[in-house]
Amino acid sequence: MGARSVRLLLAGSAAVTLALSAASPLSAPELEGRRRMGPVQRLLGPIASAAASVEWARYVGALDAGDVTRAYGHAARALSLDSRAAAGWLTLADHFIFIRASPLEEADPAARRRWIREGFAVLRSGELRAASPGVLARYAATIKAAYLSNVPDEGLGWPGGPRALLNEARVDLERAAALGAREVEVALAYIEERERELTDQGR
Amino acid sequence: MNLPLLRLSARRAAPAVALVGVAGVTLLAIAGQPGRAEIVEVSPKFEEVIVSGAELASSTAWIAGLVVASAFTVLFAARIPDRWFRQEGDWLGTSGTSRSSIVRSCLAGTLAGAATLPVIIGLIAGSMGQARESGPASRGQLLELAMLAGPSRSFVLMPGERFEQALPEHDLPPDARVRVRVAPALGAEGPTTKALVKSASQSSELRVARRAWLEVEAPEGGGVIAVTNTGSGALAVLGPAPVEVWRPSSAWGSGHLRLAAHAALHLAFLAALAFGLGAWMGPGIAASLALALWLGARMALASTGLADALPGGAALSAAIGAIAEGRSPLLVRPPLALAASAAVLAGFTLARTSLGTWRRESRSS
Repeated sequence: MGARSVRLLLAGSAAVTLALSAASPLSAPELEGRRRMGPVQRLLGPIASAAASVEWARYVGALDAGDVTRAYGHAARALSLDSRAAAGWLTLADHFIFIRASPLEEADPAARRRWIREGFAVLRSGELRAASPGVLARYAATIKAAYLSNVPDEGLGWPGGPRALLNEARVDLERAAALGAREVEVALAYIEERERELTDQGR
Repeated sequence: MNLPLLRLSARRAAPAVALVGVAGVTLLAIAGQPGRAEIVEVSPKFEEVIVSGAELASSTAWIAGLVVASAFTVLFAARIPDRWFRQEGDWLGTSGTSRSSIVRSCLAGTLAGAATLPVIIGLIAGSMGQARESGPASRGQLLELAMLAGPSRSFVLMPGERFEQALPEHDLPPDARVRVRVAPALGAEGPTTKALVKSASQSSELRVARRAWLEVEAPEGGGVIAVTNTGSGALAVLGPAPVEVWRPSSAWGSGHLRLAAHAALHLAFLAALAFGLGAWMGPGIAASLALALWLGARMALASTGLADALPGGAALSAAIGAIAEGRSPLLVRPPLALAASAAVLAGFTLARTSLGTWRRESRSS
């Protein structure tokens, strides 16, 4: 086999490999998240995760520089590169819920609620794509039950108050259990305890 | 100048694998940007993120393309003189071409080859970025930095205090913008604060919870820009030169051509060093050493006034940053071109010196 034939064979193999990598994966219930991966993520394979790490580093740099628009662009890019990692979805949701919705940044309760809902929207998007969606659902429930339901009404003014948050948390936990999350019972027990406390307080 | 040798060196400095590699990585970087649907899925509110997506895609493509182009450039530039000592001296030394001409032609070819790489990156990043911009995400006028002003150090404004910066009375066009870099600081009642920025024609108030730009229209024909701390926390005005004036730009290709010039100087700097070192050592070591020298220089000069004079240094970073913001980079400044020329001269001298003992018996000069 001549050198030209070897080169052609290598080029052909590379082209077929790339085409197969970029193609959609075979249909299977457990591959739902993988089907939502973009062609670039499939093409890059394991390198996509490293590329996403670079984008997360740029996200932090942009936040430090005060350019939140650019930071969210980097975050969106990182999540599209490595949508299977739950940590990315948690990072962005944390930023919306604990930083942007902080009373130090937003004095208006309505604006704070908008940012918090934004954070939960991120977690729901992650549930459709991440490899461990139950973790994201359980995290949403934890924030609602253990953090938001304890925030004084005058600071947040969540419609329905703490009870509504606890009900939402229960729904999230049921979804988390269905998605395979562990230690859901502990969180459910905490919600019941909080509900008893609220009843005792007459709220 | 020996033109056939120049063309041969240009092809060797930018072979097909380098051209395809750089184009492929640039395409991958720009094609991998999340689209409107994906960003909305991440966060339904951020129209601004969608709008700035094209600029972000362009800057990412430039960074990815330049990283790969730098690696290819040093590697292939260092291999050219190595060939002289392996087999090509047999015909080059007896060809009647002077040694200086050989070095000159090969170096010129190497630089020409290296210069094709930023052109490829610019064509891809510029054209695809503009294609995205032509959608609903299109922005206003292209701006370029006109002037820096303000004190050389940061300072703090306590609640109620005011900072004024007079802008020189020279031609500021109607659409010019001015912005001031601020951040919240410790020392007053609250951890965050509010700031009011005012020019003759416009004012704007912003809650400052992190580093931010306070931006307004620039006063026509010069005037005063005033920043007042209207909140309960302390406000830091971040120096040096916290006030930036931006004027409308007529740069071609949304500034990508200017960025390509910055990138070409960076690659010329690396190529010339690798070429010169490659005449004295193996190509792998020469390529690594050229990159290490550049990186060392960049780190050493980072906090000095010469940081802008290193090709591939702060000026290139600022140019990529400007593209990421949808603004135009500045034109290449003389110190930058001078530094690249010095590197070319060093590369030529190193390579020419290495040929001092080369085939004396057959040389014609």
